[in-house]
Amino acid sequence: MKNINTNSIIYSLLISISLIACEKDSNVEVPNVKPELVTACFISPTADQTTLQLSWSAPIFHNTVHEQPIEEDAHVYIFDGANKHQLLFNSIKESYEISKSQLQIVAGRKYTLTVESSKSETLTAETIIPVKPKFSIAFQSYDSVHSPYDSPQRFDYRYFVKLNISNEEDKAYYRIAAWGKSKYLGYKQILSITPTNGENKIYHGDYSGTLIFVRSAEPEERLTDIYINLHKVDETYYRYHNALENYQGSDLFSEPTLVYSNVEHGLGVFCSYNNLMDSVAVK
Amino acid sequence: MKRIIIIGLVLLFVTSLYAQGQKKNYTISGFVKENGSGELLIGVNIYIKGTQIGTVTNNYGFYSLTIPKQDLNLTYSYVGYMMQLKHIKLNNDTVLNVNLGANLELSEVEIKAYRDRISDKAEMSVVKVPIQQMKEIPALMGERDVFKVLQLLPGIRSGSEASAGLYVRGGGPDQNLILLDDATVYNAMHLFGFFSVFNGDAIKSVELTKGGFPAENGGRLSSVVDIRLKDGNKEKIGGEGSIGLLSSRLLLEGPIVKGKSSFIISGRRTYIDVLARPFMSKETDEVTGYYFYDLNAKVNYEISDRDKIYLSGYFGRDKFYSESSSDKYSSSNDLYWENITGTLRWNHLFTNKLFSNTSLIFSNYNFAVNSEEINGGDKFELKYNSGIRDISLKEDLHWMPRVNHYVKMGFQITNHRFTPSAVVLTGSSFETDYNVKTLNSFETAAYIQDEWKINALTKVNIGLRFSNFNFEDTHYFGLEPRLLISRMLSESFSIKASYTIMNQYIHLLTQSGIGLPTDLWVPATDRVGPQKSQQVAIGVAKDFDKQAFSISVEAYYKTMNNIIAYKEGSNFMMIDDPFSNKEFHYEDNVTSGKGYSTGVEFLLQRKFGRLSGWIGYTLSYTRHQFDELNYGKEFFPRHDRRHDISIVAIYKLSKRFTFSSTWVYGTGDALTLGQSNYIAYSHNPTGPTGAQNNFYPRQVTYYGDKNSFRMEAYHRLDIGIQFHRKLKWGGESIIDVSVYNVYNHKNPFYYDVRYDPKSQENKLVQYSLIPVLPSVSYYLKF
Repeated sequence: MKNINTNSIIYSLLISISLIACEKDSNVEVPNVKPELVTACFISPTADQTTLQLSWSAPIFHNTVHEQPIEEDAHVYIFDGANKHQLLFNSIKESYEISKSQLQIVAGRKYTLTVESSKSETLTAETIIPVKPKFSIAFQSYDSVHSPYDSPQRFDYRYFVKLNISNEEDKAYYRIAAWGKSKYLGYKQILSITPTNGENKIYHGDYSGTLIFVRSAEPEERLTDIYINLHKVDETYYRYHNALENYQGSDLFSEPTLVYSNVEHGLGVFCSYNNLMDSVAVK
Repeated sequence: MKRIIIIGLVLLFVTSLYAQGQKKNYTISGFVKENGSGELLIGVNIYIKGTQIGTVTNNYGFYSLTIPKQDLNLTYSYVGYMMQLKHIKLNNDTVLNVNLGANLELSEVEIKAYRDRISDKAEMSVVKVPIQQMKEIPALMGERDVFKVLQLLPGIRSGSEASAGLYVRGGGPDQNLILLDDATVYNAMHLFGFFSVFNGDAIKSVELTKGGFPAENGGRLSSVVDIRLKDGNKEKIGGEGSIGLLSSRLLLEGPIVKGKSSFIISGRRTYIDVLARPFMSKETDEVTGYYFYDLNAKVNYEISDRDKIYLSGYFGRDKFYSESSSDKYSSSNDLYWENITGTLRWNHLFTNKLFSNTSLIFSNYNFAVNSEEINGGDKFELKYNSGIRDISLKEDLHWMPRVNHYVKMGFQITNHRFTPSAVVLTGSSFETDYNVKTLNSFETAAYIQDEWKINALTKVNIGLRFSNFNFEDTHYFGLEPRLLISRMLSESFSIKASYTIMNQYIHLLTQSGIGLPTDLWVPATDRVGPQKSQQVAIGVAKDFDKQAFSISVEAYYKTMNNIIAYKEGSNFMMIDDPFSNKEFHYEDNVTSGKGYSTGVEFLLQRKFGRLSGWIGYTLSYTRHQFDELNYGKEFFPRHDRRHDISIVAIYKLSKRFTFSSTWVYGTGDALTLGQSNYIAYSHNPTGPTGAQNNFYPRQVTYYGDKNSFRMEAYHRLDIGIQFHRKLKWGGESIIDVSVYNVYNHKNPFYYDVRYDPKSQENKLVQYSLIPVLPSVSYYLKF
């Protein structure tokens, strides 16, 4: 049923029109860029270790090598304001790592990343670790409605949970993940969260209000406990993940998504988050 | 300082009224009509011979001139018509209705005496295209299109190859108010913008204002396109028809009560679907097709010398359909979009100086999809529609108290009803109604303006518009001052300047440059406020009376606030997917920002004579800034165009042959193009404690700054020749042969990246839409 929609018809019409179009190699000057170092590193006081991904970008034009190889021979350092700590390459995981005991991540502190590649390319970036906000949750109620698209035995259960976050900063960014536990099935990730409309949703701004968790289930799978995992993230983390979430790829009808980067002389991000967790019983 | 200027102007205004009041004045007033048809003529120049004193007929063909007692020769002149000179002994108020005869072949003597000067008009940034010229310019597939002609003028450009969309002075297609007999046309496109919905045969006049807006105009930031339909021949039955490659058209007009009342009806329909049907595969029972049609109709009745009523309407629809069936299965789908407008107008003369126009206006744009599937005994139906419907009451009063004052005042109240998307699903096993609530809003505006000739050299058009918009609990108010000053520096050379503020309370969610029927009009809300612009323009205008040339040069600077755009990654599918929009909040998918545009426009124009046409050049620079786009940095919008040139020439070789040619050039559109690909890892802390940190790799593209790439420049030459023939029984036939894109330049429509196995490199491939395309049409006038 869903495939009979306006967009498919419009696509067909536009494609029909474009069939009369002719093509040629473009005469205009296309971008001529070199491969760049790309990194991804998300540091947190609550993580067991700090992990960094490092690879190379592949220019689209004027380039015959289209892979994006992992850079294995770089010198990777994180400076914590007092000491410089080196991350070493783990060839099994194909990433650079350092343990929590070697590099302590402290809330409120600034960390600076420096990477020197085997080709003497250097990238730098920095992040300040978010401070945990005060956070509490309280169970309110639940109800169930029958979903028109599901079997008669299944219901959409809605769980109402009051969330309070108090934050002293003007601009704050969060990521919420919710998990539920039921009698028979153990832990289950909750499928959607309203008002954030999606699992594991990232949003910004102060939020205090009622979260509604929705999960389709049969009556015996009704949740008994709800676990809420609140990450306070820095602005880079938010903008980068928000861009990836919106990223549609190549589409004639989409506005291209520019993926955020805070890295100088390279691409990707070096950013941070801080983690809080709490649970409530479904009454 | 501001206060001193205002007090000064008020004193001057009162003094000028008083000064005039000391002499005994009489009024000459009346209507100017076309001889033989009784069609009221708009913009006819009426002036006292040998002086600068005069006026023009308004949009309803009425004029009024109040001057001291005297003997005078009054001249009536209008493009394409014989001039008339009336000798009048003015010693009491006089009603003088004048009929002008058409004359397309002006002699050199007539050209020299002709008067259609731009230098002495208290207006700037106004584009008027003589309808006759529009009919002679080469047309794509023989479809005479008023919007395509407007795009050939400075400051106005199209969205993409062959698109009828208008981008005026850096503004978007949503910022144009398109009026057909005062009714707003919300989607003026047929076939995704290849053609506009306006059938050139039924149009009497077209005027586009892109700056220096008088207070009577409002509601959009960038332009007002005022299209007036013909009234219909009051004297005799007649018509015209044409057969082209794409469509056929027929127009009929004539008197209902001779001299009192008339009708006009005009329609066209494409027949690609009918012609293609025999070539469709007969092995399947599938039938698909596409067509569009439109219909204009108007009737009018002259109740008395002082009262006239008009009823006009437009209906146009584009439709795509497909049907298939077998023994147990059948399906039918159709998708259509349609515009319906209706205007009921009452013209009343309170006195010979006070003219009133009252209009009741209806406008509706609707986009719909109907789908039905029968499989065995199961039946499934989907109905989807979105659109906007307006009902308006408009009152305009024209008061001409003195020869040096032309005061207009009025108001408009509009109820907008938006239907963002409504879905009804019915099936054997369920029935679901996803009707989204319709959104009702009220937009009101009141204005007053005066076109005031301060002295023989200086004119101003000063006005104030107050606008108001109410949507749910949100209320917006706007005060829009308008000022235009014109100063004659010599007999035929003037300098002009203007300042305007405009507010726009409705937004169009549109994909840049494509012009799809799914484009959605939505109201300003508490989250997304109204758009607002300020524009200053300065220019000079020079007439060369002997050669019948005019030159204008204008520079402008326009700021636009609260303009909207899709957020990165959003597209129109997110808006109209019926399954995801139970709660419709368009604000979730859009972001608002600001922009500015600056430019210089040059126009050399000759409206009549054996060789007529124009040369236009625009140098412009447009930038946008949105906090949520391009990392918050400024960028060029897609339609930013640095250079734009158009040359239009129409040459009447003889009474039987007319040659015409257009050449256009434009800097390529700004586009976002990928520079490199890379792996972006997203972080996903999972598990109920959030302790398990996962990294998900995903290939993404690095684009650099938004719209940092330029498409190839656009240029094209079109030529046309018309063979005119007078027929024995009094009719006229025209064979119109046109060639679009004569030198077959492959103009860019869109780009794609393709891997070349030989060189192992990616290449940028350019797709072009319309190659050299000859067409022939046959017109018959009877």
